[in-house]
Amino acid sequence: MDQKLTPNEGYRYFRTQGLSSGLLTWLAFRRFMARPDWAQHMVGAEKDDMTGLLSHWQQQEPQAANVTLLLSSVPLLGAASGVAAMAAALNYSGVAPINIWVMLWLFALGPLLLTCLAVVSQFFRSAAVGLLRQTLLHWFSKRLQLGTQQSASHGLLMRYIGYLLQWSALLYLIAALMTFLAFATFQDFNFGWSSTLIQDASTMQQWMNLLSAPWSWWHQTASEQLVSSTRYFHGQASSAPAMAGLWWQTLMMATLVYGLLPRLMLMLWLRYRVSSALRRDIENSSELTRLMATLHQQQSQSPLEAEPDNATLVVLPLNAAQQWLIGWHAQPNSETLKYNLGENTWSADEQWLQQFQADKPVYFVAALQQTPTAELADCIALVRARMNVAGLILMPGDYPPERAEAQLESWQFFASQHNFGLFIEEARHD
Amino acid sequence: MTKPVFAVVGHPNKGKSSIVATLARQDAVKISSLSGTTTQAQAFTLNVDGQTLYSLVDTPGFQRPRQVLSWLEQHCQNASQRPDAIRQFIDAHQATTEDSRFHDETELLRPITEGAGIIYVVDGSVPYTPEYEAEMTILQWSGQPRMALINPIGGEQFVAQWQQALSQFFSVVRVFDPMTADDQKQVAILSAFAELSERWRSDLERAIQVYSAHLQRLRSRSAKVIIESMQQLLQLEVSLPVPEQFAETALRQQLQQRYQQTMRDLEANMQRQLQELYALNHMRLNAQTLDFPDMFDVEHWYLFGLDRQKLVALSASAGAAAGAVVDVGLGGSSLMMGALAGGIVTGAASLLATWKPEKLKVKGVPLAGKTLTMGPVKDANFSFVLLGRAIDFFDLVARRTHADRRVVTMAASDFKARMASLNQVEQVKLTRALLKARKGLSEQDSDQLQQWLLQLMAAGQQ
Repeated sequence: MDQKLTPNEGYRYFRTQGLSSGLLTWLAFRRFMARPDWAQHMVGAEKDDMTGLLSHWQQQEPQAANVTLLLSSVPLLGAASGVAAMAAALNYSGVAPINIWVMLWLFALGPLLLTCLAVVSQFFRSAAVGLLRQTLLHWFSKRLQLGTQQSASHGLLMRYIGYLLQWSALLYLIAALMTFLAFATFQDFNFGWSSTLIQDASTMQQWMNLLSAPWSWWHQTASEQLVSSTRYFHGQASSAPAMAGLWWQTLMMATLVYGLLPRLMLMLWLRYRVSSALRRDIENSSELTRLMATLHQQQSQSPLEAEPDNATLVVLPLNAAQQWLIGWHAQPNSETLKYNLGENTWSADEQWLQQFQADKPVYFVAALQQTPTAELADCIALVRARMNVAGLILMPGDYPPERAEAQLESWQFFASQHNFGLFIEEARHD
Repeated sequence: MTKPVFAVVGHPNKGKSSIVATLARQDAVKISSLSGTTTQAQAFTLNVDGQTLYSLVDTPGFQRPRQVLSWLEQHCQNASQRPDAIRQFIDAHQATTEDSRFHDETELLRPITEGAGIIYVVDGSVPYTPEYEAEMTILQWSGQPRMALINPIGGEQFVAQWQQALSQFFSVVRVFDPMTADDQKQVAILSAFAELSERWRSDLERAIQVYSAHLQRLRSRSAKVIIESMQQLLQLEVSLPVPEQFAETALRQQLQQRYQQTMRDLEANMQRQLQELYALNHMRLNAQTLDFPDMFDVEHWYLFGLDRQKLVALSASAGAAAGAVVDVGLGGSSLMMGALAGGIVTGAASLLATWKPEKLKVKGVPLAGKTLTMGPVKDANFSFVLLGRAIDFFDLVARRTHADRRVVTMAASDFKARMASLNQVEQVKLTRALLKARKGLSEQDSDQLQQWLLQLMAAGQQ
C-alpha cells in the first residue's frame, strides 16, 4: 500500500498516458490544484492508491479533446509541408531534368543544417528562435487555459514545444520520402545536375563521393558514368539518359542519412529531455504532496463537544467551622480537611466515604490545577447516596491565568454533568 | 512487519492529543481545553509521500486508575500474570456503549495489549503527586516498552521533580512541548522512540531519515511555490473593457481595485498552498495587522523590502551585470560601455520608480470599445516586498506545530538582515533574477532563484 502513494507513482500515472497526453494532463492537474476549492472535488476518492486518486480527479475534470487535436495539428502540418514540398520539387515537366541540388537542399542538406541550428539553439538562445518559441508558448497557454499558471509551466512547455517542432520536422521528411516513393513508383523522373562553379564531372564525382561516404561501404550510389552523363546546362536542350533516374538512390540515402536520421536522434533526445523535465516537475512540485497531505488528514472520532459555561463562580472561602471539607488530592497535612481522598487505596477511600458522619454541609475541595475525573464523581456519588453534597470549592492557587481559564472550563463542565454547585475559594485576579 | 505503534496515555487534559497532533502532523486532531475531549482510542499515522512511518494512538485519559489497579491486584498472583490480567480486565469490561464504567481504561489499554509501545504524558507545570502512581503501575504491569514525556503546559517549574519520579517507572524520560517543538526537537523525540524497543529501532531510524529528508523537500517545494507565485504576481496584467459611456476617473479606479484584489487573491492562493504543503489546512490567520499590513500599503513597504539606497545600488549593479553580457558578446570592443550604460539605466529606473512607488501605470488612453490595462508593476522594490512577505509567511508555517490552534498573527521580520545572509554578488544576482522574473524565468534561473530563496529562508530560522 505504501509504494502506491509516492510521487513516482504519480509520474507513472501521467507518463503511461503518453508523453503529450501525460504532459497536458499534468498541466491540467496543476491548474486544478491551484483552485481554492479543489478538495471538495476529491470527496470519495480512493486514498490508498495514487492511481485511484488521480483517476478520480480525471473522471471529474475531463480534458478538452480539441486541445489534443490542436496539438496533433503541429506535426500534421509538418507532414503536409513534406508532401507539398516533395510534390513541388518533383513537378517535372518532362523536358528539363530535376536538379538534384534542389532535392538535396530541400530534403537532406537543408534539414541537416536546421538540425544543427536546433541543437545549438538548445544551448544558446537566439532572438529569432526565442521569438518563435514565445509565440508558440503564448498560443499553447491560451489553448490550455493556463491563465496565471503559464509562468509556472513555462520551462516544461518550452521544452515540449521544442520537441513538437522536431517531431513536425521529422514528419516533414518522412512524408516527403513517402511522397517520393509514391510518385516514383508510377512515374519516371529525369534527375540531373547543373553548376556554374563545378566545371567538370570529376569534381562533381568527388563531391558525390564525399556525400555518399556514410553509406559507400554498403552501396555505391553515384557512379562516374551517372555523374558525367547527367550534367545539363540551362537553356540548352538535354537528352535524358536512361540512367538519369538512378539518382533516386543517392537522393533517398542522403535524405535518410543527412535529413531523417539526425532529426530522429534530435527528436528522441528532446523527447527524453521533456520526459525528464516532466518527471522533475512532478517530483519537485507541491501538488502531489498537497494532495496527499490534505486527503490523509484524519478527523477525531466522536470527540466530546460542549459549550463553554461562562457563568461567574460564587466565591466561597473555606471555613472548617461551618463546612465539612473533604479534600480531593489536596495538599497534604491540611488541617481544615476532614479527609484527603487519593492518598490511600481506592478501597480505603471508599470505606471512609461509606462510613463518615457529617454535622455540617459537606463540600469537596480541590485545587484548580487538578483535573476532574470519574473517580471524583464516584466519590461524590458515594456521599450523595447517604447525604446532601453542598458543592465543590476550587482553590485557585498560583496558576497562570490562561491555564486557569482552561481548567475552570473543565470544572464547570464536570459540575454541570454531575449536577453539583461549584464555588471558588477566592476571586481570581486575571 | 507492522510499523511502530505507540499508545499516548496519561491523566486527562495533559496534552496527549496535542502530542499526537504534532508528531503525526495532523491538525484535524480534536484538541480542547475541556477535560475528556478524547472519548475513543484512535490511531493517527505519520504519512510521508505515501509511506507510513509510525502510528500514534490518541487515547482517553485515565478516569479510575486506582479502581483498575485494585481489580488487577485481585486477579493476579504474581508478576508473570500481570500482562494477562490486563487482557482479562479488558475482556471483562469491554462494553458496546460509552456508559461502561471502565470504558476509558479499556480504550487506552487495548492498543497496549495489541502490542503498542507506551508514551505516558504528564504536565510539568504542576507538582508531582502520588495520584499518578496507580496509572504508572498499571502501565508497568503491561510489560510493554514505555517512555514518559513531560509536557510543560504552563511552565517548567516542576520538571525536575517529575523527572525524578518518572525515571523510576520509565526507561526514557523527555521534556516535549507539542505547541512549540521545532523540527529538531521532533526528530529528537523520534530518536527517543527508537531507544525504547529493539524491535522497532531500525524502522524508527529509517523513519527519522525519511522524515528529515521530507522536511528538506518541503522547504524546496515551498520555495518553488513562492517563485511560481511571484512570477504570477510580477507578470500580472488586468484589463477592463471600456464601455460606451464611462467616467475616466471611476474607470481607472475600478481597474486599480480589480488589479489590487487579483494580486491579493494570488498571494492568498500562495499562502493556502504553503499551508496545504505543511498539512496546516485548519490554520486560521489574522492576516492584516499593524505588523503585517496590506500588500499595497506603500508607507509600510519598508517593513518587507529594501531601503531606497540599497535598492538603487543593487539595481544598478544588476543592470551593470546585464550590460557586461553585452560587452562579452561584442568581444570587449564596447570598452565596457554596455556595463556602464546598463548600470546607469537600471539605477536611474530604480531611482525614478522608488520616487513614486505607488504609481501603477495604466496602459492606454480609455476609448470606448477598447480595453484599459493595468500592470505589471515596474517598481523594483515591489519584488522585494513580495519576496519578504512570502518568506515571512513561510517562516510562520514552517515553525507552527500541528497542535497549535491559536489564530496566527502575521508579523514582518527584518528582510534586510536576511539579505545580509547572501554575499554581495549573490545579492546582485538575486536582484537581477527578480527584475527578470517580470518577463519570465528560464529553468536555470528558477533553479538558481530557488537556491537563494532557500538560503534566505534558512537565515530567518537561525
